This record gives sequence, structure tokens and C-alpha cells, in this order.
Amino acid sequence: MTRIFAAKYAHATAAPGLPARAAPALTRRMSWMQRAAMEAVEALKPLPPDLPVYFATQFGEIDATLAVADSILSRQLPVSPTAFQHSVHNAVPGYLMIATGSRAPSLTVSSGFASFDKLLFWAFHELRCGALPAVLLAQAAERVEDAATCELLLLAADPAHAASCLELTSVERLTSRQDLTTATSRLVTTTGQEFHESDAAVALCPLRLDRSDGNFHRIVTSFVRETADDPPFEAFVSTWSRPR
Amino acid sequence: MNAVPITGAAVASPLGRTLAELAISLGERRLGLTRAHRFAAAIDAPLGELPGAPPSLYDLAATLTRQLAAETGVFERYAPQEIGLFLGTTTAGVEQWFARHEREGSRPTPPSLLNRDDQVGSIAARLKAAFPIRGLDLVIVTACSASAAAMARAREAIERGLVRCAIAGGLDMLTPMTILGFDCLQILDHDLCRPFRADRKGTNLAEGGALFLLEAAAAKPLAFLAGAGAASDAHHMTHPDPEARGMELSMRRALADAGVEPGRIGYVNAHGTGTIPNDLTEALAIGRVFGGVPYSSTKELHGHTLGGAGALEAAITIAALACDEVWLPGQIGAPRRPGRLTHALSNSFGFGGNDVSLVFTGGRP
Repeated sequence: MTRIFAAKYAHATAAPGLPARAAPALTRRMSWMQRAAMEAVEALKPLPPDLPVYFATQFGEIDATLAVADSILSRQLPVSPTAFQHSVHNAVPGYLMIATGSRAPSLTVSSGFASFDKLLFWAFHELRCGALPAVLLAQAAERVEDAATCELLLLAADPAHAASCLELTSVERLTSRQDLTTATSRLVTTTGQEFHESDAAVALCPLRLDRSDGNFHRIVTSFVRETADDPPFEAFVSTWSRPR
Repeated sequence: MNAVPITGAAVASPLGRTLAELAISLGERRLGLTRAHRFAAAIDAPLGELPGAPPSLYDLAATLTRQLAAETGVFERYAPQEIGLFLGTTTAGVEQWFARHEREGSRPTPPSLLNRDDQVGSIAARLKAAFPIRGLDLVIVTACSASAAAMARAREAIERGLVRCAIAGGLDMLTPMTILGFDCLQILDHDLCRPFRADRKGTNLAEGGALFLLEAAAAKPLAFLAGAGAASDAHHMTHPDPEARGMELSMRRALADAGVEPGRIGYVNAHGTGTIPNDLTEALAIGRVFGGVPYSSTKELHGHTLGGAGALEAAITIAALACDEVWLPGQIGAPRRPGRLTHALSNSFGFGGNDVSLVFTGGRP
């Protein structure tokens, strides 16, 4: 089985007044979320050529979607072409492909709170079977007005990337609360003192530390829709360790 | 990667609900586009509207799932954990959120973090709550290539053993947001669209799509999803790369994945939106990959169903493969002839420069 490493991680915030690395000519018409993505990718360069980009999003770009809807509902037509383009859920990865010049496949998925972890599960299996040598995972969020953040995580099968980073050793998909109870009984929740800001993937979500084996665990649960008689349930548990 | 059998199909289109109905409608060149639609007060342009009272996108997806289950018996033959769900859409959730504000006459407010019905991913959540589907699901939101990408990922999931079968495809509903959004980009044709013709002016939007059942093995499949390829233009958010490098790569990757030489493809169902740049670049890419293969865009009859386009046009491509004669959907004046189409490719290209190509082979020996 191919080993998978969290090779590089960057997060960036874009907002008025903040310094920017990306060229203004590139970002002039971009939303703040897209600008945050450009800042994050600049921080990660150099990147492998022809890198696939996989993006997880819960809502797409809310500001752009609101602008399009408001324009229609208030009869202020035509809709802004820029707002409409930005309201497309895969606008951020579209710009990331342009910024990196990559013609590799790009994937955008949406699955509520579990969007990123479902994407992580998928990417893990693609890397594990050798279908991809590396993939850039992305997620982004709008904050208060005129500010957004983007996180990028490069997963790679190349051991040369392992230094000072984390190894992604498993991603489990659990479909019952019983499974989750069994999984979490192995873990001891901490507040994170034993890992550092420099660790890749840490900022993506709080991790948990299993004191018995030194692994980090990230658990995300996704309650599909509760009904009295048949509550669908889904959880993802990813396990990260320091490369040995 | 191996070819994966497609064992059932449920279609949502003004041209029919089954592969057979689609084949008849397209063979007779029936028009699924009309100006007498429910958005006539907002836009004077033909649209492809589904017949009857417009359901919500979720209701339509549930109807297709029931139709597919009745045709294939999938819920009797597989345990819920073995069944995956791979959907492509652009308007799920957004459509409900916009309609609520329209009904209430209120200014739009941000969708709720907790109200999953406002989110595009809600479509899978609601189907999983209503049907015995507990395997992996992915809701893919790559604009107009979404449902083709969903079918490609379903095939991968079956091949990697993540699920034993998958309900896959996608659909979209017409909403004022997409209609007036496309209009602001000046890529709607306010008359009937004319893909690949010299006088083309733009596209006609539509609603619908299709869902399929893909299985690891089957005795009598409708067809096989033999290969899938994807690429990015890395050029512009809404304009294709004029050199068509992403489109060409997508098709070449699909052919390589299927292990099929370009010369064996008998028909290409083109994305063919009818916009000047798409058709120009797609024709360039098809010419570079195949030389003189027959190709057509059936969107001139059913319109562009956006996130559902890849699935609807996969259904049309499969209908052509199932035909007892060589029949090329949408080809004007092309007579049917004896023989059988054995290999076909369908293209879907989306905003963000997202290109997907699928290779299908016939289900009969």
C-alpha cells in the first residue's frame, strides 16, 4: 500500500488592508474567498506540476449567491456577470487550476459539515491505490463582510515530502453510532498541546491525540437526517502520525 | 480500469422518461423546448421545461430513484451499506432557498448552517433518508460537467470496492438564478439554439437529467461505462481555452482509461452548447482526437440541463448503443443504416474549465 503524507499546508486570509502576495492583475475581479485561495497557493509554491485540486464546500460563495438572488428579487437586472460566475460552487478550484497552470482533473464536492472529510476519504483511497501521486485539498469559508479564509493541504505519496510533516495512515467511514463509540473508546481527547501549528492539517480541524500510540485522530460526524425510526448516520475518522 | 455495467436508467426530460422514449423522440426530432414555460414573464427565450407541475429537485430525484428501483430491484438485491450514491447538480438546495425568498417576498438572507435543505449536498442526505442507501455518497458540484463526473466517480468506487453498486447521475431544475445568470453572460439564444452551426448564437437552458444503476457485474447490462477522463482548461472561469487543450486531454484520458483506440469510437455526443466559443473549441478538440468521427449535440432538441447534462446525454448515448441499427442522435438527415454502434463517447464541459469525457460500449455481445 502506498504511504500518504501531508506534505505542505497553508492557510490564508484575504481582507481589505491585509498584505497580498498574489499579483493584483490576477485577483482584481476575484471575490475575497478566491483571493484567499490565491494567497494560500502562493504560500505553498513551488508545487508539483499538473496537480489535481479537490475542493470541499458547504455553500459555495454565499456573498455572490446573495448578490445574484438579491438582484433578481429586487428586479435590479441584469445580474452582475461577475457575481454569477463567482456563485458557481467550483469557482475557487477553477481559479486554483489557472493559478497553478494545471490541466489535471479537478473535483468539487459538497456534503454539509462532512464535506472536507468525505473528500479526504475519497482522496485517501485514490492515493492509496496509486491512481494519483499527489492532490491539493482545499476548503474555504467567508467570514464577516469582505474577509475570507482558505486552507490548502497537499497530500502526496512521495516520501521525500515526509520530513516534518504528518502521515495520513487511515480514513475510516463509520455508519453507525456503535462504530463511532468503538472508535472513540480508543482515543483520549486532548486540547492539542502535543502538536504544533507547524504540523500540516492541524488547522483544518481539531485533532485528537491517542496517548497510547502517539497518533493524531480527526473525527467528523455527519448526521444525514434524523428520523424517529431510522436515523442515517455517518462519521469519518482519519488517523495521522509522525512519519517514522 | 475495467468497464462497469450499467443496468438501469431513469430519465427526466421533456423527450421521455426511459431510454426507449428518448430514442423515439430524438429519432423523430421532437422538440423539447418551448417559449410557453413558467418563466415566460422573466425571459423571452425557449426553455426545456419538464411536463406537468414542476416538482422540486428533490422530488424529481426521488421519483427517478423509485423508477430506477422498480426497474432494477436494487433495494431487494443489495444491503443498504453496499449501495453508493453519486450525484451531480448545481441547483439543489439553492433552488429551495431562492424559492422560499421569492414566495415570502423577502430580501435574501444567508442560508442556514443548520438547515441542510439550503445546501447543495442536501440532495444526497434527503435521498439517503428516504431510501435504503447507506453506502458512500458524493455530491459533485462542478457546474455543467457534474453528473458526468458523478458517473465517473461511481465507476471508480465500484472498481475500488468501496461500494458494490451505485446510483449515479444527476439533474438540475430551472430557476431564475440560472436563467438570468446565463442571460447576463449573453450566452442564451433567445431563439432555438443551433449547436455547431455557423449562425449559432448561444444555448437554451432546460431542466432534467438521469439516474443510472452501475453494478460490479451484470448478466444483461444496458451498456458499459468503459472509461472516464477529466481535465482542466486552466484558462478562464467561463470561456474555454481557445486551443482546446483541456477538452482534448479529457477525451484522450477517457479513451486511454477505456483502452479504446480513437478509431473505434463510432459517435461522439458533444457538449455542444451552441455558444460560439464552446462549439468552436470542442470541434477543434474532436478533430484533433478523432479526425472524421460523426458527432452531434442533442441540446438543440432538449436544451442544456446544466448539472444534469452529462447524465441526460449519457442516456442518449446509451440509447444509441442499444439501437438495432446505427443511429446517430441529433444528426440531421443522417439515415439509420444496418449494423450496430459499439463504442461512443460523451463530453461534458463546465464553468471553471472542468472537462469530463465518458466512453460507453454496447451491452450486447
